[in-house]
Amino acid sequence: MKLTDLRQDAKGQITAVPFPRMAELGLVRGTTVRVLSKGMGGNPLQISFEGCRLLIDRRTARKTEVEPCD
Amino acid sequence: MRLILAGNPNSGKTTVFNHLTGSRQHIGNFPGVTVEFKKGTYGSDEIIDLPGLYSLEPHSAEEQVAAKYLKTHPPDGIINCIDMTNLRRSLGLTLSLMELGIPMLIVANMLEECQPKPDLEKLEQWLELPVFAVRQQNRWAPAVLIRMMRFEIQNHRIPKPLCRGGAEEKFRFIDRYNPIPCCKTKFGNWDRVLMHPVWGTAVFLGIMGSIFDLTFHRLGPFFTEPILQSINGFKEMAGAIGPPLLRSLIQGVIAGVGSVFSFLPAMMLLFFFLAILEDSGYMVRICYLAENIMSVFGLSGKSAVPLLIGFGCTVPAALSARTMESEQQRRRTLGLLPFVSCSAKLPVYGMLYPQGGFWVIPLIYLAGIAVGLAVAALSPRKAVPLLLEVHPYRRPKLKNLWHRLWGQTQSFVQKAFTVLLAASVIATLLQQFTPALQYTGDAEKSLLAWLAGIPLPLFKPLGLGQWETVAALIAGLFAKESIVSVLSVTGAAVPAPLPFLAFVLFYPPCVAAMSTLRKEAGWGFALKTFLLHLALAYLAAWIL
Repeated sequence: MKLTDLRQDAKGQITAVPFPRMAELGLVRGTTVRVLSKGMGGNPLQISFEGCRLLIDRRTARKTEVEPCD
Repeated sequence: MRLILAGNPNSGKTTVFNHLTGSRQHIGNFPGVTVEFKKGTYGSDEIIDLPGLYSLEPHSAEEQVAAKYLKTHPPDGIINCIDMTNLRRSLGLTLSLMELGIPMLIVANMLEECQPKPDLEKLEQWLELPVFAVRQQNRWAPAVLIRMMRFEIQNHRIPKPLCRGGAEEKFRFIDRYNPIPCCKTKFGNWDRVLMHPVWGTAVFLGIMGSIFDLTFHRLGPFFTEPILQSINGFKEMAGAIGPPLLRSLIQGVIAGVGSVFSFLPAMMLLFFFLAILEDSGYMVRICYLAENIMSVFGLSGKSAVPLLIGFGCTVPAALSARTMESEQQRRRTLGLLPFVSCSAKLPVYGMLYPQGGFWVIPLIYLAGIAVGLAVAALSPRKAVPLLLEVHPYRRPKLKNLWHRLWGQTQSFVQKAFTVLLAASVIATLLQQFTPALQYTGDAEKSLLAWLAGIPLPLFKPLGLGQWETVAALIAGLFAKESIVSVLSVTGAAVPAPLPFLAFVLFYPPCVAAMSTLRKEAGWGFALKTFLLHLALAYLAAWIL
């Protein structure tokens, strides 16, 4: 499943990230993220994980694989 | 000792740096490149504040130079500033720094925002590094921190690397072994409105409108008027001084420098408001709101920050674009900056429309940006990722705001007493002598009129066929404020305000800005920018 497929307030566990920079920011496989909000047209996404909040553009979010959590 | 402050962006490094060094600091450059860093002293110890890093495998231009500097100019000690509200992410860099084999200590920042309070002793034991707790900003003793660092250096206490490997391995290690639980950061409920696509945009427009209203309409003129009156008073007094040449020179300098100085309060107000937006954390929210619309023009939401800083001055705006990871995005943002009217153009707009409503100047600014975005949309583009951290709102610290404001004001005052003074003196002298270097009281026969007359035929079709106007525009290439200085010295009125305004709005930025663009993106980029803006300015003035 893609990160863009998660609805607002939904959680998912990262299974693959498209850029090494994301790993340096702490977004590695196994990290649980929550979608806090989406901008106009769903771009960008605001996600939170481990006390951190990040803005990700929709294109990058579409390339980020997640496993939805309850 | 030579100590380096290293940490993630927004981890409080600069606050620690300012507290350690006070006013004993200056801006420096990394050798060979123009990435800036702050250098200061504490006693005989040198303190260097590096740009923020997420890792030692950097991506942006700024990170690349900072990481390279750390490796090629190893300091005596590293002060690693950690944002304790974001410990997990901060530890990624900490583990990388520990591999460098340099004595190190941790400064734990933002402790007052952590719930629950982290156990720093456990952190010390796990990392085997000393941890200096900053519980209340600006109330800790720099001497204690320096003493701790000196102890590490004198006893050659090299950190033991805990995890070698890439980012993924490090964060897996952190997730498995970090004894400090993640603390809940209080973001508050502001973002429900401020990051709402509709309400957030409305609030942003309201904030920018208020800034412009206060700067150009309510507060700015309150300070500008008395300064202008004083300048006129001094000019009158100078009318009674000695020989005609000296009198003209003094009056020219008072008019030239003074007329620009009168806008200093408005400029300082603008710098102050922009600094508050940055320090409060609101700038990131602007990037969020701007991302969707900026992507239409092939830009990123991150480009909004340099654009806003460009309202103050193009030079720091160009430098702030260094945080962009994509070279293409950085160059596109740099290309947009000359379309943003900097504060130096403020005296020109104010001179052309002194009685204009508060909406006139914002409209001029918007016109420039609109054309810039249109040009950006036409150039080829490639999508780049936006990855931007959102921090909680923080109350801007007056001390930091003051440092920032003072630095920018100092730059302006320095420019006033160098470039503007020189422009006023040169314009006045050129106006007093003929091409045969004979003293004359007739400005029409002066050397200035003769020099400005050379390109004059090119300006006649624009309705700007007056040598005084051309002389002012040429002077404006050195510093935009010089336009007002030269027009004040020559005592001329602009014949066609609208074409003149259009020309000033679009023509190439000042020498300092062009020089920065050249350093940031190369000669080819600077030359293309110069020619593009000259052509655009001519076209816009001709159309109007």
